[in-house]
Amino acid sequence: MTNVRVTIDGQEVLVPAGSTVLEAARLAGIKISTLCDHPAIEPIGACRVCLVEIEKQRVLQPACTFPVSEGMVVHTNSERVQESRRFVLQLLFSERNHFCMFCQMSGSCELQSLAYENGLDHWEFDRAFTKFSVDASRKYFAMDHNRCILCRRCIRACDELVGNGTLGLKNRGANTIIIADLDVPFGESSCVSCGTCLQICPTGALMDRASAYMGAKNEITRVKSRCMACSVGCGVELVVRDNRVIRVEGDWEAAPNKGLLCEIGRFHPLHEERHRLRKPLVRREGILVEATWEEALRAAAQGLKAAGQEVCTVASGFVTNEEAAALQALPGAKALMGSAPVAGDGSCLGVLDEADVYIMVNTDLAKDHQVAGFAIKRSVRHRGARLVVLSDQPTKMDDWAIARWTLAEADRAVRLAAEAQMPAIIYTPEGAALAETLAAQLPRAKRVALAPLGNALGLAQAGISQGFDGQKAAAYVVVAGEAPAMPAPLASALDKADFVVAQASYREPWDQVADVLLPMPTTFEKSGTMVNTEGHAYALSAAVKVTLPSVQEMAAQLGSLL
Amino acid sequence: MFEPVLLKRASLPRSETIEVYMANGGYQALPKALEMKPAELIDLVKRSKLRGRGGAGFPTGLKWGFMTPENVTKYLCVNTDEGEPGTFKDRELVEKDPHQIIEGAIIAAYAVGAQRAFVYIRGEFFLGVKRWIKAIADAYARGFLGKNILGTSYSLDMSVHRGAGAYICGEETAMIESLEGKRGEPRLKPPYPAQIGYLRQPTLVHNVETLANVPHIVNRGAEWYASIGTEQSTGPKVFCVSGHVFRRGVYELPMGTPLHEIIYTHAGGVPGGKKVKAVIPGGASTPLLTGDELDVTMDFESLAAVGSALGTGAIIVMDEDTCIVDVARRTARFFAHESCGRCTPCRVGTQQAVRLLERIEAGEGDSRLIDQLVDLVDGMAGKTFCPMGDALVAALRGTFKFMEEFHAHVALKRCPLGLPYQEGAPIREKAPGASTHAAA
Amino acid sequence: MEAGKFAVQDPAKRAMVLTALFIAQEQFGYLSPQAIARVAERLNMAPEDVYETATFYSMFRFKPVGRHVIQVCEGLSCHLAGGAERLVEYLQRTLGIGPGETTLDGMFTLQTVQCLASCGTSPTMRIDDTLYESLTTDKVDMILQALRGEG
Repeated sequence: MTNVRVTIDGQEVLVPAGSTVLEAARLAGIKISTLCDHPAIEPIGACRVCLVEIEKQRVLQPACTFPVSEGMVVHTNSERVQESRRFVLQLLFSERNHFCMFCQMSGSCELQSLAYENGLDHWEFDRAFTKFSVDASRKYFAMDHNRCILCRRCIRACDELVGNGTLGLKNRGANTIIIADLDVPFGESSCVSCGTCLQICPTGALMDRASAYMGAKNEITRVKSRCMACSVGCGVELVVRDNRVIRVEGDWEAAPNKGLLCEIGRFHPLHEERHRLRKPLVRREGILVEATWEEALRAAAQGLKAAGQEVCTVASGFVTNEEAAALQALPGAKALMGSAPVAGDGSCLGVLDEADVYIMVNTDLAKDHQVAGFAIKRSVRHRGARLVVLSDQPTKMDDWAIARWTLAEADRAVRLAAEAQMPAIIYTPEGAALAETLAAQLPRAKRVALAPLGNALGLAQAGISQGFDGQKAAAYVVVAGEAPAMPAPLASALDKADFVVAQASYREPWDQVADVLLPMPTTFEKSGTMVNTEGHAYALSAAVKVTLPSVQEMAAQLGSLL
Repeated sequence: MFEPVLLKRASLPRSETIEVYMANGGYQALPKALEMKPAELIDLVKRSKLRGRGGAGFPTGLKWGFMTPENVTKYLCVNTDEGEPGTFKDRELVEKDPHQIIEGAIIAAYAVGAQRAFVYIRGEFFLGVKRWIKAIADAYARGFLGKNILGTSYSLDMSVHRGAGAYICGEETAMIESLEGKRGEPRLKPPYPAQIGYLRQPTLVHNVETLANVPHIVNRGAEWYASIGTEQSTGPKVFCVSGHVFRRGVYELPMGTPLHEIIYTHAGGVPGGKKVKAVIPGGASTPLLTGDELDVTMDFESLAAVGSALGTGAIIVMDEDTCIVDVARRTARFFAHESCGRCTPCRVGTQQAVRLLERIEAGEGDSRLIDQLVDLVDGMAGKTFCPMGDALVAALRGTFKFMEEFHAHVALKRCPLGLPYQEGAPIREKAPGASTHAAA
Repeated sequence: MEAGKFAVQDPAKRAMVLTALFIAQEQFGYLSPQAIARVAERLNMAPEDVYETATFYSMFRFKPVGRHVIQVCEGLSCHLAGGAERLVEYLQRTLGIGPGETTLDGMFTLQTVQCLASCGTSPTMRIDDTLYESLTTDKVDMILQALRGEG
């Protein structure tokens, strides 16, 4: 690609042809104020905050959409530009209710920051605004239309990034309002609660229930880590205040999710209703009672020994590579809390933004691995890609599919994908056998295998590669982390076992079966590494300091007692 | 006396039918045009110096020349979305002589290599829609549209699309969005429709009056055409006169006809012998002229020279009893109602203009309101996504020629003319239009 | 299973959406959610996309209207001819309803529109598909009376 030379505020830069003025300024390290623009979505040039002066242009031009050309001279902060910016901000402040002191986003709001940066100290225009409604029908966040500046970032994020198309516009001009579906309450809409709109909103129009009024920009720190809830391994930014995570955001810079998260990754940790386990519990005469760490470990060792040699250690997807390695200190077999992962075609999630036909085999990406599902949804809506669902039950991806066929009708999918340039076959262990037969018939196909547990591949690398399908052992050590439920084979095995030790972050559901229940840090509380379904190793950083014993300590000490 | 070109047939009985059109020289340009090479046609139109009649006055031949890509699907859009207040010329042309436009459209489509033409018509034009549909069906029946037109290898399909009430869809990119079945919000330019238009294909958009000129240019030559009007603004122009004149209506006159002549000779002057206070020369988005500026000639250059524009050629005459603040408020309300809401300066600026003007007209507040209004208008200028925001800027700047009237409102706390904005004022017992023809 | 609502987008079909909405509005009287859903189904569109488009245009209605819809032109020429807002006010007093409202007997719905392109014969209004020009108060009374008489 050729480069062009442009001068921005007296500084000469060489930028790729086809860049916008805003991109060129970013390369030159010059900040241009923006509002409706966001790097993750297509620019629309709507808010007019980024108007800059370009020599030989009669009027100011929006930096976010205006393409550079050879020899262009740009002034981003001339008096004319400053005046224009102040004017646009004045208009925005006059349109709806922007009394910052009552807003939970005060201190972290892009509109407010721009007002400060540009010296707005009074209202220029009358602000007898129309009253709009507040929609608080959604579980995790609310929408206050009175604070909306109609930048449409939320709509574009929902459409371009998530491919869900829930948000849209109603009416026009001053009466324009953001709506969900056919103007139904947000809580009753097709929204999947991924929260991308919430994260991308520049003002306080969308407000997070958990973190509202919990801390502004200068009171919080941000820690980059990973979500371990599934094997996509999304990059997260943990927003921390006073040693507490108040909000989870998607990391815009992280592969493979590029800022997106799903409901499970973004909201579940902060809306956890189970009881946090902070002290060891030991079952005495059928009742779990508090014990010291040493007492609990001794009780565990005693129980395991009494059960004989047959001990099986079961690790969940929330166990890091380092924790998994430490588990080797424990005797007996090791197994995964779920099926064993199956092999795909390496770094495969990128395929989801390139394929032209998707065959989703016996899984539902709207339930599990949702962020991977978003890639399919946006491809269907924007790249004209086609999705075929092979499943005997309805899935939540059906709205995006040109057909759903039963597993027995798989040959129809093969016929449809035969012409495709790049078919992608998406499957979990449940559909692996069928997926392999499909792949054998489609030479151009890419296999996108999704591991069933967050860190399944990391655990496999540490030697824990067997899926748990009902091994019979007399005693079990379950390393659960935040695992929300017991898979059925495990539940029945634990029910029949002589003795069960569990290390978990929450009491439930392990308090039903464990004889010794040990506390364990959550993903937010530990550092380490994980391996996602593509085989990429990602680092986790502890955002919160805790004094709970780690899995490593548990394994080393319990191992030595055995 | 100028002999009408575009409205020549309009006074004939059943002028809208294909029979009357063909009996009066219709569809004679088409065979000639189809024998010419497209490049020759483009050259012909360039030499005629025909300029777009929708408002901007862009040279038509040049626009055709931009549709260069070969071997791709191209489209032609016939813009019948006439919505500029004061404008009713396109309605007249469509209702009275639709085949003239169809013939022009076929020739234009052939010249640029378009295979499909759309007529985008305002949803409010019920009769116009019917006339278009009938005329297109008749043109198909006679072989002027469809496969192998007049036995040549050229084929063209044409269909009617109704708009649904959005002034902004008269803007070409908004029209294309609307044709695609979307909200009629303008697109970013560049790329221009000639590069990426309907369904991302090159698209030519023309006002109906522009196309109506084309058959005459083919029939009578570029030199004949260029001899009408002025050096830079050639050909006949359909003016529509409304407001305070005796004979409101549509007048076809050469470009460059003095405004004074149109108002006093053709439209019969102002009822009651009143003076002309102000005239909007080209539809609500062109700055008004004062009664002292009536010597201006109605062409692109002369009006630009006096700080206004020819626009659509919709002349709105206001007599001495007209409150200019009221006119400004009415105009601002129109633009606020029609703003698509995408960009801040237009969406909020138009609302604020209405509020300020309402307060000034009602005699609220003091002269700071007027300063605010002027600042608002200056602020909006050149900042909007599409030309619509600037249209209100131009219109309001025109009304500022009567600045003393704005100040009189806030000083007297009422309209100095004792006129509008009174709760419960009746509409006139007799509208001026009802008596004009008898008086004339 | 048939194709999902987002699965296949057909630009050529989508281009028909305004036409389809007009037909639906004629059939149902207004664009109810059912009407929107029908249009969406016919054009391979998601209902939400149909709705979003429809609400942009002032000629579409999302609430039931009276038997006759009165649209008063608010254009500048009508305004100068003493119509527009003053005609709206007159109708408001005569009918007892404001713009956007329907009379209790379900006979009339009052609306304002921007310009009917009849500036040469202003003031104007349109009732259903008929354009009434060069209006005076007497004429308006007669028109309303005639429409009431029709029953």
